[in-house]
Amino acid sequence: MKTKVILPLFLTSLLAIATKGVAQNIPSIAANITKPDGSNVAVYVVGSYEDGIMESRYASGVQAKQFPYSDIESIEWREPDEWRQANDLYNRRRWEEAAAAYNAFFKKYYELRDIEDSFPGIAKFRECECLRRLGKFEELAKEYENLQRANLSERYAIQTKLYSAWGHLGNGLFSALQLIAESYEIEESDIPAGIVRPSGLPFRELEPPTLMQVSFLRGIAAKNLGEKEEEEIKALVAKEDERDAPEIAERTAELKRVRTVALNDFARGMTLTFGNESAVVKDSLLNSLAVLAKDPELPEIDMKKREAYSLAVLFTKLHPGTPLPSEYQKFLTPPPPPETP
Amino acid sequence: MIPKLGRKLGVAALALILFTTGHASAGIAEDLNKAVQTMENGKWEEAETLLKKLIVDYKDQAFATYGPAFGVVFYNLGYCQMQIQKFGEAAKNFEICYKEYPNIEGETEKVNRYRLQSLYLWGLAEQAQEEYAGALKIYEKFFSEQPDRSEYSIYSLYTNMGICQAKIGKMDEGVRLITEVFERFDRLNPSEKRDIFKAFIVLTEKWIELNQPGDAIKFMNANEFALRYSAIDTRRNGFDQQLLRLAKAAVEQENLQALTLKLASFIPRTEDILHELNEMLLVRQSDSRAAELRKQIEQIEADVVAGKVIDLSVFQILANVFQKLGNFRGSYAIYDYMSRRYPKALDGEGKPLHPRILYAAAHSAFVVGDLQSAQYHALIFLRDYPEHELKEKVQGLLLEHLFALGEYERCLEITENLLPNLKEGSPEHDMALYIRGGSLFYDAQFPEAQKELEKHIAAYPKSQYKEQVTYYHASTGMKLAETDAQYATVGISLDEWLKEFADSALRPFALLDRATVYFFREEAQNELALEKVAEIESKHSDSVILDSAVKLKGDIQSALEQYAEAEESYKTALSLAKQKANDGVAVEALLQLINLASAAAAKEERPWVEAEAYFNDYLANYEGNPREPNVVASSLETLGKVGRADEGISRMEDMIIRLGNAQSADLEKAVNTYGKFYSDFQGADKLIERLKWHHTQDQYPDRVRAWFLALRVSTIQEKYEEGPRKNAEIKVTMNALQDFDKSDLAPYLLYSIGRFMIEGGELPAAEPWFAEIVNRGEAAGEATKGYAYWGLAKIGMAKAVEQGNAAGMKEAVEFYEKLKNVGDRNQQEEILADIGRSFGGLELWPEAEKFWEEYTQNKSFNRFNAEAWYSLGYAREMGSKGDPEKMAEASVAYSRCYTKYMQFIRYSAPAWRRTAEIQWNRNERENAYTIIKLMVKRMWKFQGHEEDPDDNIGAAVKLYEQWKVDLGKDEPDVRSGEEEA
Repeated sequence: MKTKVILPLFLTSLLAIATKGVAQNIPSIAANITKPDGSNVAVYVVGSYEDGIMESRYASGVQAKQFPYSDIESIEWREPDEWRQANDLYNRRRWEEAAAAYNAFFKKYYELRDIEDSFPGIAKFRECECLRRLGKFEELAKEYENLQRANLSERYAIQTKLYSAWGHLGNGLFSALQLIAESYEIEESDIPAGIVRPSGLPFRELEPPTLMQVSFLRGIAAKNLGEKEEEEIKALVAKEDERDAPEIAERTAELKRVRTVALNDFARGMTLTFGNESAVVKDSLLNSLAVLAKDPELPEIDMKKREAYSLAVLFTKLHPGTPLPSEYQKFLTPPPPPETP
Repeated sequence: MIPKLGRKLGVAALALILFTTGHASAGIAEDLNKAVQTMENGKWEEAETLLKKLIVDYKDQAFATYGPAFGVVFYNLGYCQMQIQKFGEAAKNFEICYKEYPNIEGETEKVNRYRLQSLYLWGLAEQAQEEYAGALKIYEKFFSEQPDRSEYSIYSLYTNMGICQAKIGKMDEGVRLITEVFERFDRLNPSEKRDIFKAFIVLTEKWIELNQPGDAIKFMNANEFALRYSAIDTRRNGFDQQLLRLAKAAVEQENLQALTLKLASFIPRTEDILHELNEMLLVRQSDSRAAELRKQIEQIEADVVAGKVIDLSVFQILANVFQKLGNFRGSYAIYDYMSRRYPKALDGEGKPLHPRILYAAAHSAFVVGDLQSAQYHALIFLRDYPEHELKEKVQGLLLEHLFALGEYERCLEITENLLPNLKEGSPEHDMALYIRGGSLFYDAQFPEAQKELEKHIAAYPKSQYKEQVTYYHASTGMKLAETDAQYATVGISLDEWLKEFADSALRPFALLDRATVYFFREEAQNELALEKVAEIESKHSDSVILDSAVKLKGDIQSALEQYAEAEESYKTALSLAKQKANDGVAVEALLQLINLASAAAAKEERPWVEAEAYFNDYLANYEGNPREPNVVASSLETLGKVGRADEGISRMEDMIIRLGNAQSADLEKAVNTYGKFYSDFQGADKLIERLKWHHTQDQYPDRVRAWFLALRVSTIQEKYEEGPRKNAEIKVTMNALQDFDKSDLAPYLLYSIGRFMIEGGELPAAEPWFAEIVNRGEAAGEATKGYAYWGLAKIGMAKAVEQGNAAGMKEAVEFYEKLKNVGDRNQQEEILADIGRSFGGLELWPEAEKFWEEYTQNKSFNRFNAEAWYSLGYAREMGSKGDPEKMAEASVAYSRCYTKYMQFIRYSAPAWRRTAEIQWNRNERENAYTIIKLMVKRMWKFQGHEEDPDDNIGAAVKLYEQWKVDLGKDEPDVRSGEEEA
């Protein structure tokens, strides 16, 4: 079975491949090249150079020659076995094994990474997706650098940018995460006159999976911002300087807004793709509980108590084998029913 | 679920063909071929008819002639009937094939090759008829027969057995069988994969029925990879609709919210399908296929825009789940998204869904306390759907948000339009009226608040807002109270409220009000006030009004002359207010601290620098506060004493300019304070010069320059000796005042200038100043309009008197009537007396009588009582034209004058004398003599008094002497004896 990928002719920023002599048994991927005149040629692609691909007529990849892009109308790739196997693992959501398989694939076919949307580039992209699904954001941050070396077309750009955000999450770079999240927001000036802005600025129109991720990531950034803010406010309060009172009041109000943004965004993370990413749902539940646990209004406001209870219950029901962290166990006690007037 | 026939169980065409060609007559062969051909063409009903006929035609000789092989005819007939869902008949035919046409040992040609398949299909047919127990027995029998694995699908068998087990309630066994198939998912062909998904659906139906969400979720978690199909496949196989159906069933039950969420998580978003279709376009496709894909994409995109996609149903279920869980934030996230994504969605009745989504978003956000987001959605709703049936609910929602946010002006705007459209007695009307009253209260519009709150109390005695409304009402009463009696009434209301709502969050506020009322009583109940403050301090120490309460304590202590304690209280209040950034209380406390410290310094008890320190605290932290005029004014003496008089003057000047720019009502007071301070430290002459200089400062607001000129006039009047210089300076300054564009001046200044002119006798010149106030309409303010009506009434009267006709009086009376609605009592009293006088002056006696009568009947008027009773009597007498009744009425008025107000000789003397004369003229001579005798007895000593220029007392003495003679009274002269008691 052949995967047919139409390769656009305009390729830029390709790194040159060494042409000084191709080593024996170079990994290659079989492909069928259609020339501008309509004729076809079967080749084994071993890499690329600035103006074209390096192809061999032998599966071992020996005697590779340059094949300029100007002579290529399109390339139809034949899926290597490792590619099929990795995809199979990916489709079965066996993220750990799939990540390893894509990683190995990328390494093996590294020299083909500069060809736009070639298998190695997509492999690195999917490895990043596996790492994201696994919650291995630190590792994702490292692989993001390799992903930058791959030549992927515009249709991968949105998610690629998000991998950088997830990487920031892994590295604890919350300010950078915040900046990326903000880049998806509408401008405050876009809110029509006479309409007040909501607690968090709405996002621009995005595909649901993107929107779900951006929401969750902004929630994380807001949560972190809130935690820092809380510490700073505590430090100000500890100074017991009356002159700080206005600042404390102002920052406390802002902290309340930031907490609301975080909670709303985690709720978006749980719902916008119907909760189809169970890891994001799980993280959203736990992060929401973390925000609520620090909320000084929690003991006083019934609705917040019920919110915390509902999140704790959902966590235990959706993850039967995973115990709710001990610091949130208290939320499993049902709050008293709301008072009726 | 109707089980599908496995891929290995097909039309038994080949067997029949062999059978018919080898052994049958041409007739049966032909008929069978025709039936099989028909089956292969999918014409199941036609094939059924042919096969039934074939059986009728050949059955009698079937087994004998064709042996077990004839059973295949029944197999095929059953197969046709399965296709057209005649499961009962199909089951019978499979049974016949299996039971009546067993293979004969050793027979190799006339073999019923489909006997075992028939058994299996018999099971399927029973299962299709929901005869699960029977089906299970058949499957078990089939399995025990050890059929060849190549002849059937073991996975389908397990799947169907699992389904039957589940259906008869043996969930463990059913799950075990189906799990075994899931564990071999990789080996399943596409049809078997679809079947196993359907088995999962059956299991889930049972889990929902049995309310076992834990087992269901565990199963889904374990088999997630197998249950997640691509978005396109999920849609193509109808799994999304199946999952939606299950989610709908689950959401209706208690305890299944998590399961509902889990089920929904397997439904792909429509956008996922679009994404996959677009991905397919990236792979080379034939032109027709590509066109077809593009068409699909366009259609789906249109459906998304129109909101005709499954996603809406799923989102609504999810929102419902979160709400049932008590998590409105989840539903907010959903409705917020839907509001942007599906602006054109329609509901089941074809009505726009978008407004309902917006409402739901606003409502959810409100419930979680995200008022900003709630407001955002509510405002969009009201902008886009101003006539929608939910408009009132949204407005109500918005009102609650705005009220909670303290946006009282907006609440007032909305309720003004909303209330007339709400049904009285409805919960919406109850809430809107409460918010209107509350907003007026918090916006300090107390008279209006009182009216609205009283309406609410009358209309909704059992309202859920009773606690708030009754508090606002009592507190409003306190703010409006002027008399001691009113304070007493408010005190009772507050006591009742505190008793009824002992646990209310508003309690500290009510306690503070109660303490204030105790403090404000004529005989201040300071101890009780301090008790209430103490309760706030001990039981509500986290209340936002603690600083105000402690500040009140300071006020009470000041009143009790406990200055040291008061100072401590003010210091505490200041500290608390600083912590809460409550500038208002902080500045009030500082102001009192400045006053206490400067008073002590004035008595040389403490150094001036202490007061200066408080002033410096003010400058450092609160400069520009609205109370600054008071703070600076209170600090002026201190500044003078510590060598900062120039700074004091400079600050006052700056402040006056700021007040002028802000059009503050405090401007006049500030200008006067400035004048006094300047005069004290620099002398009146320098002040007069300085004020002249201020007038030349064009950069000042005109109203400030005008006030400085007004101050200059009053300073000249006070400080200069009478003479040409004084008159000239005043004239010049007044002329300068008239140069101002009236539209630039504050109403009160207009009034002051006008009044100044009236007092200076320049009535016609004063008229435009008052007219300017009236022309400003609402902007002028009620009180200021009162001043204008006062002035214009005066001018009207002056004109009337000057011209000697009543035309001007009509105008004056009209202004008086207006004044009665807006002016203060003193103004009304003054003008009413003037009107009486003017009509008297014009000798229009009935009119004079009417207005003097109005005056005397107004219990709150007392400044001109003596004149009023006298003038009333005089008007009646003059207007009587000899009518004895009228004269008697005049006597009554006169007698009220001299009996109650004898000390006002100007009026009591003529009144007394005329009363006696009237009696005499009416021939009531004894009576007249008694009256004149009493008058002489009481007043003879005042004969020649300057208040009696017409010498009424002298005339009375003469009458007394004359009438004594005329009546032959032999009695001592009343002027020689002691006064009667």
